[in-house]
Amino acid sequence: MQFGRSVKVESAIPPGSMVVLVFLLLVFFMATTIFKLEEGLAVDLPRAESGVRVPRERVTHVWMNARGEITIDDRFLNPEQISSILTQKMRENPQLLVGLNLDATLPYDRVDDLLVRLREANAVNVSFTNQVEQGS
Amino acid sequence: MPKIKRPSNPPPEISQASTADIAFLLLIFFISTTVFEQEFGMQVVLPGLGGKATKVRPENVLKIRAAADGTIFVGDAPVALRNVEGMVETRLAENDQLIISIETDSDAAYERMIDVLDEVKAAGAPRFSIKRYRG
Repeated sequence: MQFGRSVKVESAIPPGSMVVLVFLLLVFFMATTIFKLEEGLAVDLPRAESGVRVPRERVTHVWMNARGEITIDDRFLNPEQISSILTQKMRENPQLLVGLNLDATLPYDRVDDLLVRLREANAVNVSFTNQVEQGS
Repeated sequence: MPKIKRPSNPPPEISQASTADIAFLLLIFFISTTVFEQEFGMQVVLPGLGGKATKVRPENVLKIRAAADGTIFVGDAPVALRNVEGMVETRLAENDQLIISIETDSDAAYERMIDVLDEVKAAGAPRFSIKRYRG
């Protein structure tokens, strides 16, 4: 007994649905993308060649401009407040990396005082943020 | 007089076939023009405040001082910044236990310390310390 061949169904993606797919992707990315807006302070970062890329997801930035003003998460702080803020952040994430965005012209004693505050908060993983200098 | 029949015009509409092209064009444009901001930094691990101080033999320490006037001293000798990397490499080749102590004057600019740290890192020094110069 011979069986008749089943009817072949053409397999093709209808191009009409491409529009829907692309827009769906666009809407998905637009809806899920979060832009982290941290303004920071206007600082002129020092230049260096040996800086490495910093994993932004585990970085908290500390900004200090040429006038010695300090911000963390866009909040202006006194030097005395830094330890308590960073202690709190360290409790939430012990792997925290502190990115120091410090003005190149700052006198070093200000930087040294800041490093002491970081050590008080046990925030010992530090990254001195720099501008990339092209190798000579 | 016979009536002239108007040709029946189809209602005007925008062709939807090109919508996919426009959407892809937009996607490709944004993919190719988007620049993700990257951050570069020199990572160091600071000593904890409760840590024990360890004694280091003086011959295993190389002091590099960044003075307020921009002069760099390796030991007691003033050197040009561009020569620091080579000097550190040479000393490291002689002594693999070497610890580089970067000391910066209180009133020196922060970038002087970064300049020295950059040279020390470029020389591949595995151990170094950062401190304020206290005379």
